[in-house]
Amino acid sequence: MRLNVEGLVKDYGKKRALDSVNLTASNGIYGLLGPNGAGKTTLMRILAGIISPDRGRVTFDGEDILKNMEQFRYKIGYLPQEFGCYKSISVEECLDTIGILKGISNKEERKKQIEKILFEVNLSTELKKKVGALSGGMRRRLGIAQAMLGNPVFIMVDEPTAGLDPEERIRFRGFIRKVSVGRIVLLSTHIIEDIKNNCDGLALIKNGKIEQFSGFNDLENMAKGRVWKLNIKTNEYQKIEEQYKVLSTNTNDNGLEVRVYSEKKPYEDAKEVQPTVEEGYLTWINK
Amino acid sequence: MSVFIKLLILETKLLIRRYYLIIPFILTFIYLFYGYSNLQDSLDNYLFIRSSGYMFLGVTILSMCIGVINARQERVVKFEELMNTLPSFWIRLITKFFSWSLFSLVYCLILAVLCTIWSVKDVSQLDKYVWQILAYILVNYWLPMMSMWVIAYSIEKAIRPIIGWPLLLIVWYTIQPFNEGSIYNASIMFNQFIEQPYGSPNLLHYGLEMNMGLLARKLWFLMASLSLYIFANLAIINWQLKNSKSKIALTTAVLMVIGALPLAVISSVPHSPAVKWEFDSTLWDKQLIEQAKEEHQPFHINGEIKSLHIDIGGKNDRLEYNAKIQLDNLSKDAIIFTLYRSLEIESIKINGSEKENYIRENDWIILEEHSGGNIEIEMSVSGKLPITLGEVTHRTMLLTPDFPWYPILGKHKVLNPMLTYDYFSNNLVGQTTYDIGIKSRRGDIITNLSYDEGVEFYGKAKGPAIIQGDYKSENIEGIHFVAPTILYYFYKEAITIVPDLIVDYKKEFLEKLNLEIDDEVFNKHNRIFLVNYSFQHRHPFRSIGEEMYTNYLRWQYPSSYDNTFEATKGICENIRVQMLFESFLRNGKITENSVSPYLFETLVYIAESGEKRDIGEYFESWWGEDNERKAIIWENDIDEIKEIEKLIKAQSKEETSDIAYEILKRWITIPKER
Repeated sequence: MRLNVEGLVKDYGKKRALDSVNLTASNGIYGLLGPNGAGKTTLMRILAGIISPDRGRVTFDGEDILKNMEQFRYKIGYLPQEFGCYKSISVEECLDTIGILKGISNKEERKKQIEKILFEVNLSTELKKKVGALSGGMRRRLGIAQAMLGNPVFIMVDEPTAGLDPEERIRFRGFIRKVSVGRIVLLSTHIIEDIKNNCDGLALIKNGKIEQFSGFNDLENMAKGRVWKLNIKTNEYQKIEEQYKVLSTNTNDNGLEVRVYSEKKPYEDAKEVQPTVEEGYLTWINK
Repeated sequence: MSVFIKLLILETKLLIRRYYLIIPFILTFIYLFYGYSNLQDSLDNYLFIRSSGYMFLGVTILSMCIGVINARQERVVKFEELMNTLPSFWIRLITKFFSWSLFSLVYCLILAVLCTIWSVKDVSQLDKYVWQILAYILVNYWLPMMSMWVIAYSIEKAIRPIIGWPLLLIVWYTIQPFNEGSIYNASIMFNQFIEQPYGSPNLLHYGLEMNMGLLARKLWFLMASLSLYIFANLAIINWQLKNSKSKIALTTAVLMVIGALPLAVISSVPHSPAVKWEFDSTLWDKQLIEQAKEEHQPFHINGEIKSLHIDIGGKNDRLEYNAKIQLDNLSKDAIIFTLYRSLEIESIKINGSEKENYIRENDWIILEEHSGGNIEIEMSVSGKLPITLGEVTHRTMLLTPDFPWYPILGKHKVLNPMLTYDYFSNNLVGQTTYDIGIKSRRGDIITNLSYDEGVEFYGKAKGPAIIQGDYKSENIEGIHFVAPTILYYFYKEAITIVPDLIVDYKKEFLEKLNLEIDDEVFNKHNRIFLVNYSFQHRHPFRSIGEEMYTNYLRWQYPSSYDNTFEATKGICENIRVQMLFESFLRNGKITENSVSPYLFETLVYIAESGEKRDIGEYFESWWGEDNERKAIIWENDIDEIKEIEKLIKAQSKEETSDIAYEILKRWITIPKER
């Protein structure tokens, strides 16, 4: 399976939301990382067939999905940034309805899939519960469950961990890894933790422009030679902050250990250090 | 299909679970029952249905609320974004509309059942009412309920509430009848309000309004709403991802707009029969007056009618029939029939042979060259009648024997001018009864031949009468009583007192005149027809031999009386003078002038009270200097005018009364056969 996005352009009035976006992905999880307003959701919505691009082409296994979106809808699973369902219906009714809309016309098959997915997202006990009675985390898991229905080959999850507590986030990451087998999963987020060590590919997006990385090392290398470690007294921090971009601080017995971003060695006693993913991301964002 | 059913179930569940929206719908039934309880004494089967205007306002508002809620529900629970990525987008939209249609249909069916239960007094007549009520409610409630839901849903989907909600209020205002009179045609076209009582609240026999204009009005609006629904959804979905279903939807929307246009045009003119009748009667009035002014020499035919058989058909306001007339003892002179001029002769046969050379002149058919003796004449006739002379609609008829809608033997003047631009007809002077057979191809009718309702009748009469509509016909103690159903049930016990009351009125009147008159005047009526004269004749009463026809409008709303007998007496008292007029003048005692028919009633009041009332003003307005209307007055009127001048100049009440009695005495004792 191969997803190919070529020269995608989308304007909202005078604002260019996507600017010649190119992206390729094959089986596995692909992280789409970028700050708020970078164009992640716009790209997701185009790929999900909610909006159309002004220019560009999207193919899936060579097939132009923008031209055949009606058929392609059966192959995708989408979890929007904000997901909910009618509060007065049960979890089972919600998934059953979405299942039938996704073309699972056989009742038994639908039931089997719903039970399996609910087990995987740890919602089996909530089958008969009204959607309105679910917690925020449960509702998010229900969102993932619906995206999984119909065995889609391409799953898009937009900001999936927003609003989840740390335990839910960890569980979610594990679950995404599990479902990514034999599929393309595109995961959009502005939280690096969501994709760090969990993605097979990575793309960064800013102001509608995208850059794809083969792995996290590439991103880390973006900051190579620009991240420095300093040991300073606590009262020197303000001066350092005014002069350099402080990436992180750690307290130690002598004061503070500060990691700063600088094109040149900031101080004599500063030591060049191996950048982290976050530092690579910040470098890319600020370049 | 499984997607459709599943979604339908889901949408229905979502709707039903909003019990707070269902409650107002249930309350509307209670409101209607309240209306029924209050109006059931008003003697109109349907008044409470037709008076349900406020309920309509409420129901349309509720439909709009549900449309808005339906459009918002997915957005509010953040389900919309996902739903828009799922397949079956159009099926979802169809299902949404269908589920609302189904809900509103169930509501309307319950409404129809309740209205039927409340309206129908006689279970045997259930089939007569149930379809009318059902059709009325479906067209007047169901179609607008769907339209309003669709409009509200579409506007809420496509436009922000700050603009959308005021827009919805404007739409709601536009469909109400408040705006009538501004842009007349447009206001009719947009008016989705329940159809008011056939345009006239008094036409009890007509049932509930249903006409092409009404149907077109509701349908074009629904079609336009549905196309808006499609356009709105096309606008919000991924328009540029043109797929085949979107193209089908777009084509459907465009076709619906194209289809709605002619319906909108059709519905922009009034279709309500009562409105049309008003229009027709205005249109015909001038022509009728012109016809009334025509000179006429009456002509008597030697011979008599033995029998008349009429096979009546035609559709809507067109009358068609075949008449077979047996004539006996004819001389060889030309046979002349009177048949109103708007009816055309298709063919005439004499003794089975086609007659080509007949003369159709004004209101007469002249047949020369025949063998004389006993002959059989067959005629095929078709045409339309002015509503002021005979009512023929797609569901009602009123054809009375005194009007030549059928061939009447002899050369009569159909319309005689009166002082006002009114007319008076009397075509049965000297007519005796003969055998009549009637067959109807226009469904069940009532005739003056027997008290049954049906399609075939035989009997004796001075001429045939045909009545059709929401009437009930029964034999009550020897009186053939016909009335709109609701009036029938109210008056059936007391109607038997009417013939005696009329005789008493006549006796009392003759005593005052100190006159003795032939017994014929005292013949009791044994056929009483409470019919629709709303557009005909200015008198609410017509007497033809033993038959009396009276405008049921005068018998409506008798709630001020304690009981049926009181009501009957009260109403007869109210129309006593008209009864006297008809009893003496309609039965051959007419003088050939226009003053007596016009002033008879006024003269009775003047004679009885001694007060001149406004006779002077009348006189001046109709006989004043330079009044062009003088032209329609007959020569005979001049003598009458002189008498009236004397009356106006009378000095005292006694003198006024005496002169009035003298004039009246002369009018009813100088029979003048035409």
